Amino acid sequence: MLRLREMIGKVAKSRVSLLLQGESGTGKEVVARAIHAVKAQGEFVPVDCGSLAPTLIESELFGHERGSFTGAVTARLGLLRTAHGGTAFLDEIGELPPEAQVKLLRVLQQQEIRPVGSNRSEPCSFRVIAATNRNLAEEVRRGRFRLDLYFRINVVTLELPALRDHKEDIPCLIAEFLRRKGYQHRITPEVLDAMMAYSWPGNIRELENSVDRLVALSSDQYLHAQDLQFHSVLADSRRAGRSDPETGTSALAIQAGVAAASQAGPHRGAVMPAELSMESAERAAVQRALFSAHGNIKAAAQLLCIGRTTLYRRLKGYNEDWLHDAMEGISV
Amino acid sequence: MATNPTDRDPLNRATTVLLVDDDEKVRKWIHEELERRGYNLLEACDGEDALLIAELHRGPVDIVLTDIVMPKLNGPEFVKVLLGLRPDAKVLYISGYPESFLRNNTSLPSRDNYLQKPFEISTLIARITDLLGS
Repeated sequence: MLRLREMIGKVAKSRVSLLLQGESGTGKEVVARAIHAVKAQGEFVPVDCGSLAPTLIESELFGHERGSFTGAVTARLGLLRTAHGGTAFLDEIGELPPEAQVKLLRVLQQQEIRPVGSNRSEPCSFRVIAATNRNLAEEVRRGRFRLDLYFRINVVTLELPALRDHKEDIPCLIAEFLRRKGYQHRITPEVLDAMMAYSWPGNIRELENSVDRLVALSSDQYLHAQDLQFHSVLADSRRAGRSDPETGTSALAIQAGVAAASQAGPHRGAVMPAELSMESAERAAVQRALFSAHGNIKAAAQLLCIGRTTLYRRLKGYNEDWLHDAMEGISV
Repeated sequence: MATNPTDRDPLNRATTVLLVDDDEKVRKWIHEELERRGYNLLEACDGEDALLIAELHRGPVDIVLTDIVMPKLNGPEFVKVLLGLRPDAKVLYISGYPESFLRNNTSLPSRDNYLQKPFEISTLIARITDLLGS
């Protein structure tokens, strides 16, 4: 971790383009904001390339003139023009469609931008901090990401480790979350043991959410082990024999999938669903992923290691009653 | 040889150039022209940023094109440290000053490669090709 901290300190003083690579929840935006804050020139503009609607992507990024297309009743500045003189944080850059990649490359090359429907280019330069949880080099090799754009944004890469690879930081992180939010609560050894044993597929974000949940459920100044709710079979198998009140099974490890569940073995507790068919295992996995992701389809798909469209297709195949039951209790 | 397509990862098949110049217009021009001809470009506006890239960039750096008179760290000072980090990198200095002036007034070693601005892009490419072949 010290190495990463050192690297952040070094790159923050420079203007080089950065690529942050790490799983969901590892703190890519937090790092990007910290880097921007060192110089604090201009605005920090986060752009989630993965959530932009394909039809509006150009107008969102590059702006548009009034009347340039049906529905464009007012002019729009566009996210990249807002970042002029500052930092554009291009999250999920690997999701950017090919046409938008070409246009973004042109903006970076020319340092100017032409809004949709305009004949005039305007100056536009910003520091690029891109982020991805994909292997962008692999995307280039497969022809899905432009090589020239890759070199424009990936001058220096910072790898953000998964929380399971730096569990020694968990006590400090918990203390920091409590301190930052002004909570006076103390953590019990049982909670800490359970947290150290868990694999944290949702990384630091999941840890922070867990701390928030424990604080909310606590009626005194302690965080209690009985309020913990993990969604990993690894953690569940350690709490052997304890079954999930909602499904009658222990929670399935979404990332480890059915294989890991079977490795855990029946002697460790009711890990597999009562029905052993692939379909029921798949439904249970989908349900757990939706629960863990608070109903967010994209995040749930990531947990399941499948594409968003594949998850949509699966959900379409389930009947409405099942979906209603599955979504019940999810706090969106 | 750096440009042999068979011995490199597909991503790094082309020559990677680290371009260091405090003049944004020069950087933009060289970057675009070389990029268009299939080179991979890394760009820095001074010696300090260039050293950061040399240290932290994950792929190879085949050739460094660097200005000589720059703020913070001048070209020869930067190259001295750079070669410790990237001993295989070839270096070509580019500057508007006449070569004789630089040899007498800066720490530019007499054996180092030099190209005086302004130059045609074809001349630059010929020098790069020569250097990589040597």
